Amino acid sequence: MKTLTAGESLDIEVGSGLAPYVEATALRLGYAEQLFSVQTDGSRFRVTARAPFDREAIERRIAHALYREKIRVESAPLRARFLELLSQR
Amino acid sequence: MIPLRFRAELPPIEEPLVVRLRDRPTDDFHDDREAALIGIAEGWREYDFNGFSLRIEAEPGQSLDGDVVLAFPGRPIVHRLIRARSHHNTFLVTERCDQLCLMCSQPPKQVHLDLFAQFGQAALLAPVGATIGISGGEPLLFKEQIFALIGNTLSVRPDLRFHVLTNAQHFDSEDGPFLHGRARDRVLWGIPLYAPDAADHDAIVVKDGAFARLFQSVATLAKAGAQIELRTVVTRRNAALLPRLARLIATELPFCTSWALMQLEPIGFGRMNWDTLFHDNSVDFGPVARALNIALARDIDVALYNFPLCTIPEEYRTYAPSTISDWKQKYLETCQGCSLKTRCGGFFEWYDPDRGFARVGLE
Amino acid sequence: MNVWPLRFTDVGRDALLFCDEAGGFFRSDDAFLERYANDILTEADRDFLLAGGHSFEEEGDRHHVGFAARWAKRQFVPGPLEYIILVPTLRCDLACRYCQVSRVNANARGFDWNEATLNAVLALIDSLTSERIKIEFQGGEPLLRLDLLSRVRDFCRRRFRSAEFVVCTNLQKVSEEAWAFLAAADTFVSTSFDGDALTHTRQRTLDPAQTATFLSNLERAMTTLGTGKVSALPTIDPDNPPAPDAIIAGFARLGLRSIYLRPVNYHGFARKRFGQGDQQLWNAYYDRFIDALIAYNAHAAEPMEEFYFTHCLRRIFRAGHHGHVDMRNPNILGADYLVIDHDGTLYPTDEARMMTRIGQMDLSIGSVFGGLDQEKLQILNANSDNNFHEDCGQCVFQPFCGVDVIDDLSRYGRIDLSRHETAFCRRHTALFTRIFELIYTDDAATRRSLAAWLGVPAFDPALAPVHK
Repeated sequence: MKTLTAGESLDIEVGSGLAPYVEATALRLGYAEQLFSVQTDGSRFRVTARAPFDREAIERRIAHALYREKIRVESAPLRARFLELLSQR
Repeated sequence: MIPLRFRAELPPIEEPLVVRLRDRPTDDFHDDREAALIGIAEGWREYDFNGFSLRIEAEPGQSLDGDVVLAFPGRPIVHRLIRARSHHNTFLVTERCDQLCLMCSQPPKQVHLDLFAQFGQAALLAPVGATIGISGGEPLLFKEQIFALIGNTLSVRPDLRFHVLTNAQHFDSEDGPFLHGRARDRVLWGIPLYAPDAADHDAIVVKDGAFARLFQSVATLAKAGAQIELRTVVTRRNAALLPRLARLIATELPFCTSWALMQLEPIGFGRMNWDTLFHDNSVDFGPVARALNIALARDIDVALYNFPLCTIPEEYRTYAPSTISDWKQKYLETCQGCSLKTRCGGFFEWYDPDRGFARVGLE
Repeated sequence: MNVWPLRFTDVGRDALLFCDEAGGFFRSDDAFLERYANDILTEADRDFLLAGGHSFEEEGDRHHVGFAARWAKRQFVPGPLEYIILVPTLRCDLACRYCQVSRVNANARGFDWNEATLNAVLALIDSLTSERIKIEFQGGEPLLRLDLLSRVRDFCRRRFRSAEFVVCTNLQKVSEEAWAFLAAADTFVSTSFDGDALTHTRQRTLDPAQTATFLSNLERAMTTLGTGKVSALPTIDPDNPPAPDAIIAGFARLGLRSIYLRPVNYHGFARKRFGQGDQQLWNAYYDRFIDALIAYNAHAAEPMEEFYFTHCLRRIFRAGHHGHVDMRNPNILGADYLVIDHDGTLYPTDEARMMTRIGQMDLSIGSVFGGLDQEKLQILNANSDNNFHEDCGQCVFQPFCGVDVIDDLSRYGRIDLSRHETAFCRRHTALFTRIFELIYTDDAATRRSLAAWLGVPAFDPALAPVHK
C-alpha cells in the first residue's frame, strides 16, 4: 500500500463509462475535499495530497465521488417525476 | 356475561321496532322513538311506548337507561343494539363475507338479513360522542348502504364516530369523495392484515389476490387521508412472520393510525382450529416482542389486544390495554387478588384454560 | 424496477451507509455500490431494495405509495402560531460569565414591559387561531416580574382550550408567591444547572453560598413540583468542561433523566476568538459524554439521555418527528413560534434576538404594535429547506437534518457558504455519524441505551439493516 506524502501527485484514469461525470466531480471535489486537491483534463484526474494520504483511499474517494455524480444525473428524471406527482396531490 | 338480549312482551308492531329506553322522560323526549319506564315488578320492567305497553325482563341491577333496543314482530325478544354505558357497541350488519379467514370468530353465512334502516334509526339515538362499531361478515359487501348509513348519521349527529371492520377488498378510487368528506375524521377503518407477503396472507384469509386488493384499497384510503387501523390476529400460522410484517407496515403503510396485534378468540373457526392456530405467547413471546419493537421504533402506534397481562413480559405490558369487550369478558380463579386485574382485559368468556396459555398468573 | 436515488457515505473499510430521500437506510459495501451505480443489480439486490422501501415496480404500487408517504411526513409543515417565547424583563439577578448580551442588572430601568407592551402582547395572543397555546417565559429573570407572568397566564387560561407555561428561571431567589405560581398543574420550570456545584459557581453564581441556595431551590422544585415538571440544562464550556460522569451523576441524583447539553454560546468578538477549534473540542466532548451515558445506562435502573442526541436519533427512525424548533426541514421561521422581546419587538428565534441586540445584524421581524414584517420573513424563509441544496443533495443525512439560517447568518453573516464549512453542518455531520455508528454497534450496552432513547423495550437488530 503506497502512501502519498504532502504535495505528491497521482494520476487516476477514469473508465469511459464515467467520463461524462469527470468535470462535475472535479468541480465538487475542488471545494468539498479537504485532504487533497484535484485537477482534470476531462478524462483523468491529477490528485495532489495536502497531507500524507493512502493511495488506495484516494482512489476509493474519487470513485465514490464519480458514482455520486453518475447517480445524481441518472436519477434526476425519476426524482423530478416524483416531485411533480407530489405537487399534483 | 352482560346480556345482549332480553325476553320481552311487545306492543303490536308490523315492522321491526327500534326504540330507546328511558328510566324517566327527559325534556327532549321523542314519543315516536323512546319508551319511558313506568314500573318494575317481579323482574319485569314496564315501559310506556306511545300509549302501548313494552315489557322487558331484566335483572334488577341492570341499567337500561339510554339503551337502544331492536325488536321484530311476533318474536318476544329485544336485542340491545346500543348499550348507553358501554364503549363496545357494534352493529353486525351482515354475516356474508368474501373471505374465509382460518381464525374467523364470526364464520360467514349465506343468508343476509337487511336491517340497514333499523341500524340507521339506532345510530341517531346513540349517546353523545359515542363510537359505533360496524362489523360482519364483510360490511362493505353492502358498500352503498354502509356509506349511506355513515353519511346520513354524521350529517345529523356529527358528534358520533364509527369503527368499521372491513377486509378492504372493496374500495375504489371513486370512493375518494366519501372518504375525504365528513367521514374522514369520524371513521376508523379496521383492516386485517396477516402476513407480509401475498402467499401467506391469501392462504390465511383463503382468498386469492386478497393481499394485492387490500393494498389497492388502502392506497385509496391513504390518499383520502382516512384513518386506518391494521389488525393482525397472531396465530401459529403467522407468528414467525410478524417481525417482517412490522417492517412492511412501517415501510409501506406509514400513514396507518395504529396497528393491533390480537390474540386468538376461541369462538367460531378460532375455536374449531384452536389446536393448530393458538400461539401461546406465555411460552414464546419472541416474535411478538420483535414486531412491537420494530414498529414502535418507527413510530407505528402498536398495541396488543386480548393479551392477558400475566402472559406477557413486564416491560411489554404497557402496550396491552384492556380490550376484551365487557359482555364477553371473564377472569379466572387465578385472577382473584391479582394486582393487575383492574388494568387487565382478562380472558374471553369462551376461553378454555385446559387448552390455553401454559403460564397464567403473576409470579 | 426503479430504485429511488441512494446517497451513500464511507463508514469504514469496505463499508458504506446508503440512504434514500425518505430516510430509508442500510449498510452495504463497495461491490453493491458498483452494481447499483452501473445498473447490474442481482436478484438478491432487487429483493432487498424492494422490501426496504428503496424501490418500486410502478407508480402507485404499495412501494411507491409508502415511499411518498414517508417522504411527505419528513417535510415539516408548520401549524398555526401556538408557541410564544416572552421576555417580560431583561433584568436578572445573576451575571453569568457568558451572558453579557441577554441581560441587564436587576436594578436597571426601562428593560421591562410597560402597560402598553403588555396589552399589545395580550392582543397579539388573543388574535391567534389555535385552540391551544404554549408560553415560555424567558429573560432576564422572569420571576422578577411575577405580576406580568400572572396576568399573561390568567389571560391565556381564559382564552384557550388548553394552555401550558414554562418559566425559564435561574431558581436563585424564589419567593413563596413564586413557588405558589410554579405549583400550578399547567406550569413547568426550566432552569440551568451546569452539572456540579463547582462548575455552576465558576460559570454562574461566582459564590458557593449562592450555588447552595440554587441547589436547595432545585431540590425543592424536584420534590414539591415533581420530576416531570422540572427540566435543567447544563451549559458547557468546551475549554473547561466538567467530567461527563459528574454531570450524569449530578442530574441522576436530582431525579432528572434528560440532559440537554449546550455549548457556551459565544457572540460577536468572543465567537470569532473561539470560533473553529471550538467545534472540534465540542464534538470530542460530546462523544465522550455519549460514551459515558451508555456506560451509565448499562447498569442503571433508570436510563439517562442527552436530549438532542435522542431527538436526532428519533428523527432517523420516525419520519414525522418535528418536535424541536432547532432541527426541522424546512425550518420555516415566524410561523408556529415566535419570540417577543422586552420592548415588544418580534424575533423568529432567541438567537436572532441576541444577534440583533449586539448590533451584528437586525433580525427582528416586526413588533407587537405593528405586526409581523412579512417581507423580511419571506427573505429569511427563501432558503429554509435542505431538499434542493447542492451539498445537502449528496449527503446521506439530509432527510434527518435541517437548516438554521439564523445560525449561518450569526456566524458568517451570509448563508451561501458551502455547507461543510458551516458549524451547523459540521456539528450535525459528526452527530449523525456517531448515531449511525451506534445503530450498527452490536453490543448489549449500546443497544440498551438506544432502546431507552427510542422509548422501546428493546432495540431490534432488524432496525439496522445490512445488505451484502
